[in-house]
Amino acid sequence: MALIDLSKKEVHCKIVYYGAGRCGKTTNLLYIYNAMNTKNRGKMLTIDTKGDRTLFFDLLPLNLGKISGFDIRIQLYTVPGQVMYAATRKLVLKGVDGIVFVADPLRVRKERNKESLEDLRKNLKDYHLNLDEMPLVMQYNKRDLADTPIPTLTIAELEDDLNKELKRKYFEAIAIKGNGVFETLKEISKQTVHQVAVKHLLTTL
Amino acid sequence: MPNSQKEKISKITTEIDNAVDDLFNAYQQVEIDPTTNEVRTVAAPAPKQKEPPGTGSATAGPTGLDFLPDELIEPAGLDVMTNDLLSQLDHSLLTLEWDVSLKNIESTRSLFKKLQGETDQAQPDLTRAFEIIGLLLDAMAESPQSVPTSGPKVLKDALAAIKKINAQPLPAEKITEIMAPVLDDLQATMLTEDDDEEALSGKTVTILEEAAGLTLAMQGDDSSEAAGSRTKTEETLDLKFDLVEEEKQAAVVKPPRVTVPAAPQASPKKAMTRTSAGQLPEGLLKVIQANISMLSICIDRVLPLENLFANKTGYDKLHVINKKLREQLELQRESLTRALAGDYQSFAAILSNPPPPKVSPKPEEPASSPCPWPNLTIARWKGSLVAFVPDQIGYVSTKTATAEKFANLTNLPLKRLKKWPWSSIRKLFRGELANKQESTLQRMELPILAHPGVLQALAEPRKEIYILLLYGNDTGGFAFLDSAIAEVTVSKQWRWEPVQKRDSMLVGHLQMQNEHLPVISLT
Repeated sequence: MALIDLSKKEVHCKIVYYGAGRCGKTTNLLYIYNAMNTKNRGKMLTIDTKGDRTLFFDLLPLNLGKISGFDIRIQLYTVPGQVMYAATRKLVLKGVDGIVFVADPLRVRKERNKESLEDLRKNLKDYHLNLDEMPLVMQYNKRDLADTPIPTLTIAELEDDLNKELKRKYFEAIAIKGNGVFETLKEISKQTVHQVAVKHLLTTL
Repeated sequence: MPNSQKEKISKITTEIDNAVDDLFNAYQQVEIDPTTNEVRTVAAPAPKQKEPPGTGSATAGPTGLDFLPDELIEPAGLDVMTNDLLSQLDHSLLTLEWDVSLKNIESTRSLFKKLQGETDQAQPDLTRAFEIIGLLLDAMAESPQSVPTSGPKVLKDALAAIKKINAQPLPAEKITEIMAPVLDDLQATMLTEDDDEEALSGKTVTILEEAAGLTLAMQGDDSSEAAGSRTKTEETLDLKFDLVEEEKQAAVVKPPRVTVPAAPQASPKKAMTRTSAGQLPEGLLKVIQANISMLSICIDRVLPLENLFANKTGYDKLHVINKKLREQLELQRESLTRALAGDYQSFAAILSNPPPPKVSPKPEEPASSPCPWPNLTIARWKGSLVAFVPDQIGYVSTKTATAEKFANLTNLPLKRLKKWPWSSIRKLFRGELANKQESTLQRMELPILAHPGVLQALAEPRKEIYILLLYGNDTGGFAFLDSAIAEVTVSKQWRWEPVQKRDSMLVGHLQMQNEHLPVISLT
């Protein structure tokens, strides 16, 4: 749930980039951090990273400015995708307001994607949250691989695997080049802030 | 849903969409190396476009100065360099809001100094704001953990006010009007919340309450907090005490937060100007006298604590801490008294350069070489506190096991760690062992290690043990611990002394004052 400080008129929304290991969650945050104007974002904190793997989480604070008198802050988090970090993944989800599910198009990761989405659903349930009611955007990353000999999943297959029932907006992305990164961020930010505002702020406005 | 509610939602939705569309865009094109995460800029930022009216407040953040028209925030009158500087400061303060670290504080300080160079030096309100900002950053650097939550926000408000003043030429009274709430907030952040001392125009934040709280917690019997902590095992308590005592020392002995003279009620310019050579203005004299009084109160409060610890066995460290604290306070009182007598320079030096934390525990001599491991895992083993290398820990039990089960064993099969006969054991392990096949692990057995510094026969036998498995480079063994493990970060205060002639797993010692921690490693 968003952190709302009525005395300071501040709202902190938490958006988590979720997905299987090596799907490009940290790359999304890195791109946003490096491409965005410095005055709207803080320093990217990467906690306990070994090599290029996220072991704990990354955090990127963004400042959306004032909306109806409230100062809106957005915190972007990633979770460690590797199976062994289940506890950390669950912990990072605590208090989440919006989710970007990043899917890996490699055919060999087909099952991992599905497992990760199930893992997300289960972890949310443990916090009494329902994935079907959460602001959620799907991102099908690494679309540049589709033009290579590497076996990849088509968008239709990814949709069928992951989004058939959820029916959420999806974005094709090449996070290393920034394609689709800001589009995803914009959509999830709008959905999340809108839900937080309607759910928690309307009575105070 | 009523129409008014619908309208509100529609208005908010539009505002959110506009803000997101305006702000969340790529300012420059970059590419990220997928293997190394290295970032490469491929296109420079687009030329800065003038922001549409109304977005100024969105990017400026909360100012606390909403009574002023938004157009004043537009830094239109500033050159490109100052604009860049302000943008960097926005970024720096947003970062500081999330992470109060020395690096971020120093970066913010340096940017504020640059900005000060760009602003009107003759404007007393601005000069005073920069002075207090500097002191606030000093206090943050000195004790990041005690930074009031309002600290970074107050700095942001100050920056917003400075932006407004610099945006276009303003009459002096307008500048004073803009700066007054900011100066008040800055000053309030530096002061204590102790109502009894409100009459004092400059206050020192005492850490006596912290010391007193710690005292009660250490004495344990009367403190509910300490009583609660008694529910933990004795071993854990001992461990924690050993580990955190140095940290507590550091926290307790921190010098009082920087003392800031409050702005006199009269014109600040007049008050801050010396009336004549060698003399201090009346307002400042009062501030110094108030500070001396406050320091005397602090000293009077520390003395009983110091005497109390002096007479209690086992509280030597706290006695030393309080003694040093009292000496520090007396030193400050002496400096201020000298300032009153005309030695203005020493007082000015205190104001501009707060004395270094002389009482902070420092290593007696510089470390000869740094400890090879930034983090260690510690536990009691055969009665003594030892440290293990975290990467070499392949398994550690979270609950105690009955020691009798493992008596007289020289080797222990890994499968004995299973909870149930049919369960797999691979998931129990981490590090190298976690990469081995289940079948391999089922067949493996490893020796029970002897503590390198303790004769097994003389070690006190225990009924309950924690099992630790060290493993690395295809070698390893079990250690039967007396306590659960705890993770520690090796601070710079510890001195690393490697074992010169290594004939056991003991690779060196970490030392600080009288503390001594053997480090065990397989390699």
